[in-house]
Amino acid sequence: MLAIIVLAPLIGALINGLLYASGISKKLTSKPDNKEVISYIACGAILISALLSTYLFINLIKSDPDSRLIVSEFFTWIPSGEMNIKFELLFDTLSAVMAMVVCWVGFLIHVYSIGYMHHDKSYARYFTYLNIFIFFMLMLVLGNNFLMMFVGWEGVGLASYLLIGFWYEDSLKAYAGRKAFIVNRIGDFGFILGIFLIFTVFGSLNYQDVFSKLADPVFAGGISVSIITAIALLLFVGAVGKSAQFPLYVWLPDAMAGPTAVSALIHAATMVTAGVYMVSRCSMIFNMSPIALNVILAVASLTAFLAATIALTQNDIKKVLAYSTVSQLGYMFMAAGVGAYMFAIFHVVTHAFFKALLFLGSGSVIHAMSDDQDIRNMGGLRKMIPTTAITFLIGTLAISGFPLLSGFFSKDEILASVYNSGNTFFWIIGCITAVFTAYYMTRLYILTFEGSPRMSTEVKKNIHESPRSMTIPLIVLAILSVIGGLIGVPHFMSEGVGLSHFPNLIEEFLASSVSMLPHEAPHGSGFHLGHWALVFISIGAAFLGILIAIIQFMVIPNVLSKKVEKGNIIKGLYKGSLNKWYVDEIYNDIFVEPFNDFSRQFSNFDKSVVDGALNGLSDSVKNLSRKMSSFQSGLTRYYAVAMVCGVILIVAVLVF
Amino acid sequence: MDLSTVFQSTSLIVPEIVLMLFGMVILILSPIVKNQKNDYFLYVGIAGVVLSFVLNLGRFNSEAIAFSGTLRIDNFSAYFNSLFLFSSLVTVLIAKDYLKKNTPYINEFYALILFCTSGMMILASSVEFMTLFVGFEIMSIAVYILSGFDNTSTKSTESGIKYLVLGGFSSGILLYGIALLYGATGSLYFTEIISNFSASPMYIAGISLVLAGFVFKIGAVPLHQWVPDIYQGAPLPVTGYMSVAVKAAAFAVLLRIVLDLAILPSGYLLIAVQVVAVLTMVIGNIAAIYQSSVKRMLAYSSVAHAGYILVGVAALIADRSVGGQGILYYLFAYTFMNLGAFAILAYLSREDRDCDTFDHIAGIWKRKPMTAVALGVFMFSLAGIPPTIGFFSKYRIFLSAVESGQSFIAVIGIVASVVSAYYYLKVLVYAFMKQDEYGFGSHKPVSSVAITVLAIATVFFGIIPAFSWELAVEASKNLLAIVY
Repeated sequence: MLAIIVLAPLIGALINGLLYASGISKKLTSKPDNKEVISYIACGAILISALLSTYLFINLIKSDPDSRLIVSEFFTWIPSGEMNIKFELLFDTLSAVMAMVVCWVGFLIHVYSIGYMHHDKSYARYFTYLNIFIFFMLMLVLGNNFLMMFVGWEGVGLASYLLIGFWYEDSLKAYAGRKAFIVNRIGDFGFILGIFLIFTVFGSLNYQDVFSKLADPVFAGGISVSIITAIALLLFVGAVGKSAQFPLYVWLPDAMAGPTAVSALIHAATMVTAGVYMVSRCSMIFNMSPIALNVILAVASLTAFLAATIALTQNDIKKVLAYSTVSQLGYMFMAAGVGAYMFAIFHVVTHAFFKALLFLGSGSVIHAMSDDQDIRNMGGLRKMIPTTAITFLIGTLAISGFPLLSGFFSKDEILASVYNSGNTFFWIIGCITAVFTAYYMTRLYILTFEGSPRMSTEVKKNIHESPRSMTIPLIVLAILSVIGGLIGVPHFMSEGVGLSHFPNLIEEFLASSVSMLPHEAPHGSGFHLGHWALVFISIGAAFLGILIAIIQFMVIPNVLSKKVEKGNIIKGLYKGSLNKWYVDEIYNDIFVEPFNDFSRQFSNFDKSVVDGALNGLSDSVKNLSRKMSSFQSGLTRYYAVAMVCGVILIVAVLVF
Repeated sequence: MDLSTVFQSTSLIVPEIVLMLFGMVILILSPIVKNQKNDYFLYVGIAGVVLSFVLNLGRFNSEAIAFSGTLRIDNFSAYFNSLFLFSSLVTVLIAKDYLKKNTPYINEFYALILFCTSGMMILASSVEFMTLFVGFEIMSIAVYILSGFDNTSTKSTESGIKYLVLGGFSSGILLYGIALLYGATGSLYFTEIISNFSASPMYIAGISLVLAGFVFKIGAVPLHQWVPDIYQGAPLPVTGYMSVAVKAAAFAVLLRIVLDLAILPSGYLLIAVQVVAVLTMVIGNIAAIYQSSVKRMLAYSSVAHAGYILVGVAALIADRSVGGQGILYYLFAYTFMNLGAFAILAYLSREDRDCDTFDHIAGIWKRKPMTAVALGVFMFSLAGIPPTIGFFSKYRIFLSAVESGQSFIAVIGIVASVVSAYYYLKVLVYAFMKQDEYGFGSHKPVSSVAITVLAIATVFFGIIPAFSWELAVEASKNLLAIVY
C-alpha cells in the first residue's frame, strides 16, 4: 500500500506527460471541456495517495504507541560489496505527519490549479510537473534510507526548477529557475558529503541501522563527537540550501517567478520544509552535537530576523510572502536548534496550512488584478472579492500569532522552548521577529484589501471573484488554519482552562520517531518567566505589530506618499530593507563575477591547451580507425585466409 | 534406451518441439492458404514463440537430463532460452513492418526464425558434442538464409553467400576440433571427456579448434572480419537478431566449454582470453569510429561488446568465485539495447532504401521526437551511461575483472568504452542537432510498440536491476555447479 501512495502520482505524471509529449493533449485542450480530463488524472492520482495515507495514518494512531512503524521492503536496489541499499519505504509517525501534509495540501493546491491555470496553453505539462513533484516529495519523506531521501531531495529540486521556469519564454523567469537550482546545488553538495560520512562511520544508510547503532552506548562511545558534529553540520548545509536559510535563502524570493499555486505548494508548504524534516529525522545525530545545535539556532535566528526586516517594506505581494516564508522557516529551525524537533514539525504543519492559504489567496488577488502584483496599486479589494479577503485575513491573523489560531500555538511553543533552553538572547530576537511578522502581514492585508481602490479603471472593470475550484481550497485551508493548532495545545493551557485530559496530540504522536532534547526550565537563579508569562509576551508581540500597522496604514491617511521623508537613519534603513540589504548585489560581486572571470580564463586555457591535446589525440585515433578499415577488402577469400591465420594463432597460443 | 525414456526425454524439450512444429505448420500451410494479404502466419509465429516462452518459464528452478545425458535442462539453459525467445519475438515484430513490401517470402521468414531459435535452445542445453553440433547447424543454416533473405538487394545476397562460405569454414574447424577431442578421449559427452582427459597435444589442439569455432561466431578478434560485411548486408531485423541471439547462443556454449573442458591449459587459456578480450575491445571500438554507415558502426560496436563480455570470461577463468552472473547479465542487457538500436534503424527505413548512413538519421528529433528519445536511451545504454541497463551490466563485468585481480583489463575496457562514447553520441548529434535531409519513412505501428517496450526495459532495469539480476545469479550458479 505504501508503494501505491508513492507511485500513484508518478503514474499520473506519466499519463499526463505522455499525453503532452505525444501532442494528444494539444488536441484535447483545444476544446475547453476536455481540459478537465487532464486535471482529473492529476488530482485523482494525488487523491489516491491522500486517501491511502490517511487510512494508514488512522491505523497508526489506533495501533500501540510502541509499534507505530510500518516498513515495507521492495527489493535490493544497489547491491555492491559492503554497500547494500534496499528500496524500502518507512511509515512512522514522523513520515506519516509529513505525508499527510504533502498529500492533502498538495491535493488542495492541485484543485486550485484547475482554475488558476485554466487559460495556460501548457496545461498538461503543468500537471505533469506537479505530479512529479508530489512523487519525489513522498519518496523524500517515506524513504527508509538516506539515499532514497537524497533521490527525493534532488527530485523535488528538479521539479522546483522546472516549475519556477515554467514560463521559460520569459528569460527572467528561466533565470530565476537556474538561480534556485544552482544555489540548491551548494546545499546538496554538503548534504551528500554528510551522507558519505554517515556511510563511512556507520557502514549503512538505513535509518534503523544508523540510529540503533547511535543508541548503542558501546558503538556511540567509539565515535568522537567531532565526527558527529561534522555529519550534523554537513547535513545542516543541505537543509540551509533546501529550506532557504541564511546565507542561501536568496533563491526563494526569486522562485516566486513560477505560477502562484507552485509557490504555495513547493516554496511554502512542502519542499522548503524538507530540511526541517531531515533535521528532525536525524534528531539523534543532532542531539549528540551541541555545537551543531548552536550553529542551527544562530543561523535560524539570524534568518528569521533578517527576512522579517526585508518583508517589512516589500511592495510585491508575493515577495512579502516569500520573505515571510524564509522567516517562518527560521522559526522552525530555531525549534530544531534547541532540540525541540516536535515543535518544528508542528510549525511545519500549521505553516503549511496558513502559508498555502496566503499564497493561494495572493494568487486569487493576482488573478483578479489582471496579473498585477504590486500592492501599491491595490486597495479596497475586500468588497470586490470577499471570499478571498476573509480567508486572507484569517491567514494573516494565523501567521501573526493571533490567540487560538494555529500559528499562535506553534509559534508560542517554539518561543517557549527557546526561552526554556536558556537562550534568552535568541528568544528576544524571536519575539521582535514576531512583532515584525504581525506588522508586515497586517500591512499587506490593509494595503491590499482595505482603504480606497488605487488601481486603474481598466483593471478595476475586470475584477471578479475567482471560480469555485479556487475558492473552495481557500475555505478549506482557512478552516485548517483556524483549528490546525488544536493538535498541539500545550498541557498547561488545557489544564488552565479546565480541560486537563485534552492531550497534546502531536507531541505524543511524534514521540516514537523523534528524540527530543529535554529542557528543564532553568532553576533558582533569579528572574524567570513562567508558562503563562511567555504566552502573554507572544500575544503582546502579535498585537503590538498588528496595532502599529493599523495605526500607520489606516488611521494616518496618505501614508504611502509621506513615509520615506523622515529622518536620515530611518530613510537609510527603509532603503536598505527595500533593497533586501543588497545581499544579491554582494553575492554578485563576491561570488558570481569573480567566478565568471575565472571561468572565462579557464575556458581560454581549455580551448587552447586541453582541447588542443584532446583534438590531437582524437585525430590520431581517427587515423588509426581509417587505416583499420582499409583492411576490410570485402573479398571472401581474403577473409578465409585471415581466418586461417587467426585459428592458427589461437591454436598456437594454447598448444605451446 | 527404451521407449519410456524417449517419451520422458521428449517431454523435457517441449518448448523446442513447439517452435519446430509451429515453424513446420507455417511452411506447410503457406502455399495452401491463398490469401497472402492477411498476417495469419505472423500470428502463428508469434503464438509459437510466446507458447514456447511460457513453457520455458517452467524450466526455471528445475534440473533434468534428457536423451541419455546429451541435454541438460536447468536455470542456465532456461535463462538463455528466454533471451533467444524474447529476441526472436522482437525480431518477428520488427520484420513484419520492415519486410512486408520488400519480399514475397515473408512466411518463410517467420518459419526460419522459429527453426533458428530452436537450434539455439538446443545449443544452450547440450552437453554432448554431436547434439551441440546439430543445434549449431540448425541455427547457422537458418541464419545463412536469413542474412541473404532480401533477394532484391545484391548486398543482402552477397552477405548470405559470404556468411555461408565463412560460416561453413568455421563449422569445419569446429567439427575438426570435435573429432580431435574424440580421438583423444574416445567420447563426445562432456562428462566422459573430462574423466578420460589426458594432457595430450591432440586434446589441446582439439579444444582450441572448438574454441576457435565459437570465437568466430561471437565475432571476436582475430576472427571478426566477417562481422561488418555481413551485418551490413543482411536485412536490418536479421542483423539485430544475429548480433543478439546468435552471439548469446555462442557465448552460452563457450562458457560451458571453457569452464568444463578447458581445465588443463587454464594458464595459457587465461592469457589467450585476455589477449582476445583486449584486442576485441580496442579494435572493435577504434574501427567503429571511422564508419560512415550506422549499420557498420553497430557491427563494430557488437565486436567491441563481445570484447567486454570476454573480460567477464577472463575474470571467471582466473577466479571462479566471482561467478558468471556478470556475463549472463550483460547478454541480457545487450539483448534490449542492441535490438532496440536495430529496431529503430528498421523503423526509420524507407521502402526504397534502408536507414543506413548518419545523414539518414539526421533531424529525427524534429520528425519523430519519441523515436529520437528512444534512440538516445539505446545509445546511452550501449555507451554505458547511467541510469540505463548498459551502465549496470558493464559495471558488473568490470567489477568482476577487478575482483579476480585483473584491474588492468578493466582499465583498458573502461578506456575503450570512453572511445565508444564518441561514436554512440555521434548518432545522437545527428539525430538531435542536424537538419533533416531524409524525409519520413512510413509509419510502423508494431515496431513502435516493440521499441517502446525495449526502451522502457532499458531504463527500468537500469534503475531497478534487482529481479533480473537475481535470475542471472541463479543461472550462473547452475553453470558453475557442473564442474565435473
